[in-house]
Amino acid sequence: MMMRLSALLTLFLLGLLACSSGTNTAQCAVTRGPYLQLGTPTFVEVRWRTDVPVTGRVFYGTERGNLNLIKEEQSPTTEHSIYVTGLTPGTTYYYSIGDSSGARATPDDSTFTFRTAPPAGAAAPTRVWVIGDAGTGTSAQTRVRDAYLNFTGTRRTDVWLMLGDNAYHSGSDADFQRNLFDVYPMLLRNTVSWPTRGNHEVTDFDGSDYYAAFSLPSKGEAGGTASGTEKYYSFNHGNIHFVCLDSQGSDRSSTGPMASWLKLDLRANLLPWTIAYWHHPPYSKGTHDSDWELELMEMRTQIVPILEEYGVDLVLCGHSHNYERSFLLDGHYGDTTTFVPQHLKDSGSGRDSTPYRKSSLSPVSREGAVYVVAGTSGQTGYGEMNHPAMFIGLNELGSLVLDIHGDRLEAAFLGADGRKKDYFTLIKGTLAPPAPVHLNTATYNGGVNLVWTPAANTNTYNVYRATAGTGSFELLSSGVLSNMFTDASAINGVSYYYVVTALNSNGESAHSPQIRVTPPNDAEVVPPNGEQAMHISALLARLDFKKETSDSLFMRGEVSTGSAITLQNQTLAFDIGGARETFVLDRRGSGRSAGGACVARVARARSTGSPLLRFNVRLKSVDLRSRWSEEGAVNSMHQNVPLSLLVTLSRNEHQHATVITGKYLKRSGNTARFLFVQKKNPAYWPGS
Amino acid sequence: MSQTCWRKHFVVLCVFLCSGCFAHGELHSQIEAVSAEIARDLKNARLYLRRAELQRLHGDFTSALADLKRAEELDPSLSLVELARGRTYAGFELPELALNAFNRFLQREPRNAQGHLERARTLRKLGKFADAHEGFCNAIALLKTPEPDVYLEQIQVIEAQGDAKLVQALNVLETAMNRCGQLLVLQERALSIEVRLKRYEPALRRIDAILESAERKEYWLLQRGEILQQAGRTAEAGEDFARAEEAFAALPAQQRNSVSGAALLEKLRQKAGR
Repeated sequence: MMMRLSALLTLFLLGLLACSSGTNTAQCAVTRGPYLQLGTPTFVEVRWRTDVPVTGRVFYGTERGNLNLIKEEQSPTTEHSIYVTGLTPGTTYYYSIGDSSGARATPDDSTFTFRTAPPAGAAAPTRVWVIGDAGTGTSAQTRVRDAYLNFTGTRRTDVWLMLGDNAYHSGSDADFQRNLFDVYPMLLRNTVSWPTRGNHEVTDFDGSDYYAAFSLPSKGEAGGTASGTEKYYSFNHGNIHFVCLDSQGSDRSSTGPMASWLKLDLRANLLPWTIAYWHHPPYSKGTHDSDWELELMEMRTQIVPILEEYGVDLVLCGHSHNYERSFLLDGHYGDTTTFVPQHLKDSGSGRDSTPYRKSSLSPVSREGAVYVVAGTSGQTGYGEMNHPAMFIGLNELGSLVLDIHGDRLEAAFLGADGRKKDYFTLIKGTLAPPAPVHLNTATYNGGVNLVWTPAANTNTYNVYRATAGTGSFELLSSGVLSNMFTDASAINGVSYYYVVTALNSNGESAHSPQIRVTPPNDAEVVPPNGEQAMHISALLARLDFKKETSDSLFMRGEVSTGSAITLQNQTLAFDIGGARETFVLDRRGSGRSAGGACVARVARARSTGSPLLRFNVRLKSVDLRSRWSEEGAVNSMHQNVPLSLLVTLSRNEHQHATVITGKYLKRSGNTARFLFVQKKNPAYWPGS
Repeated sequence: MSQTCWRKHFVVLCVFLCSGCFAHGELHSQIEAVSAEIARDLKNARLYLRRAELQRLHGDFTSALADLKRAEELDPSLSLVELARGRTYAGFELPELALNAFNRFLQREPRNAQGHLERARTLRKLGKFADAHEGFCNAIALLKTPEPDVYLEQIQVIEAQGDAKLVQALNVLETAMNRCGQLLVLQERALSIEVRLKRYEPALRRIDAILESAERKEYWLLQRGEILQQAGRTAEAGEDFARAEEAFAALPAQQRNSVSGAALLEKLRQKAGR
């Protein structure tokens, strides 16, 4: 009832305006709008509807009371659309609509204004209002609207995102009129709206008027790569790249037209912020369940990997009539049963003194994104809201407000009562990576293999070498993608000192602890032959070691892989002097493209008595799969495995001095062969 | 239909029904709203048609078909019933029955683009790629503004017929670019087909056209070099790799130091033999 009254009041006021404003009286009544579409730095589209056909005209200028510029249509119509071109970026314009007689249907006052988008790439402060599943036409919708209007006050809304189900029940023209145009007249006349289609804007036999109601950038008019369709598109606003996808009616497969366009669009993007939005959420346990529902599952498994590969920062969806907000998340594409802590790039709240951080201001793959379900702008629903990816779940009416400036994004879920129910901050590009640790080596004839624990927030590594412990280090190699490096230029018998640094776009870390290595004069170990290991169902590494005394011996095992390997749930069995002990690998790090690696450790084992120490190291059921990105494609395959084994022996539980390293050499059937080299440290070696 | 086939369809149906229970709670309210309208207007065939669509989305196969039958009884001239029936069968993985329904619909509405489109998709599902291709042709001819997605669907059924048809795919893409504009997604598809056909000169022309407007040239220069390599023109390929490196070097430092930037540089170095 309230909505109907509001609609009638709006029409009445517009009718009054039509009769009294301007120097002449318009010969028509405005029945929809005006509303703004396709906002760019230099043009904007003004649309409105009249009761009778007239030749529409827009009067505009940068000073109130001086609308000295005019754009006019070619012929009479009731559906008016005028492109106001030749505008100055980042500038506020006043405007009025009317017809070719010079009559004006809206007043020349401060309520009819638009502001052009900032110049492309400019880091202008930007306020984004996000509503989802709003178009119910109920008091809930108006309460959410009014809460936002009170909150934002005189602060202009720069970008308005609509997450689908914008006009219940079927997205007909009447639905849009009643539940969108009559509800938000003030916002629509001042702010460009960018909607996505929901499941209530489905083209059915009665026809959805979603595409008729909006003008969307199919030709890349507002930046981004042209999609050729209004179903999915992208646009730029200052330093933000917005991507609107269609989860309702388009092919959601990773090789379909939408995904193909998405890859090209994201690959071409250089802007710091990437915000993607569509209707069906990839993660939700609200009124919809992302474990079961096809659209949600497909968007998660097919589309989200592409977005993460290209460094998306924020994903906004509706559909569930709840508010759910994730942690900083990466790489979770299965259902909730497959969720593991490794999918959390940051398991904190993202609030106050613990904002989420990403290392680079530019779009960098796989550093995490926040996923928000904001489908309560017109109604609330039920649901457990217990998805493990989510930091918070609320069953409250509200909308999302984003404030983005430079390297900082502030988000707040604003309840219908005007209170902030949730908030978080995402900061980009302010962190240099920490120094790499646990630098270890293996030597072979004429070479040194280095391996270290991957550093967080790292894109690449630099490797430095010196010939004296206190000498200056020279850069040996830059842009190393994984946490392994082979120095093939090392000369046998010469001692070298190595350090490694980690890099991201913010700079270079401090040196790792240095390590001294002397490649042996004799050829103890053959270098790896590079044979392709396509699948290994069991690995066996065997080392016989003859102790010279019967002293107790402590050992620690560690299996490392190169980049992009996933080790999960393998067991590492140490068969020590006939007493077999099995350890489940402690997976550290996760299989991720370029730079990630897995280091699996086993607990210390103790051997007494036996003069012969035998290591049988088994990796059972290893399925060495890799994910990597090449030219934007996200692929999965088995690949060559630079697997290394490192065993540390010592007489003292806390001092690990003698190092035996194994290097994967070749596979025979289900067995992988290792060769070992021993590096003695006389200070700790038993019997020395 | 064989027993195995029915069993398969039964399983699919169960999955749909189960997922529907979880997925479409709000569809209930829509169905109830239309049911209330039907209660006030029992002879309105369009209301039954609308409810059938909602039942289909809700995963209720039986109710959807029952509503369609009732709509047909009330208004035998309502040809959209057959289109809805086809969609319902297609949604429940019964493509043979869907095809029959679409055929009946198109007999009555031969100029309905949506009908041709959905029939073509059903034919593709049945593995009748040549017929599907023809169906897409009919749909595109009737669509006022065909979108690239439809052409790309058509390309998929052409490609499914084997490499011998790839030239036909190129012709379709040319038509698509004439009607939709020089969209990158169409250009790239044509480029990949040219390379697959080992038609290196046309491929180079296409990539040059892309390069003219590309903001990020390094990826395309790398690809251009790779095409030249495949064509045996290694010296020119080397020049393109060098140009790609130059373009890469001109990027902002943040972009160069990113993971994807480093991977690209690594690839360029490999190509350059360094």
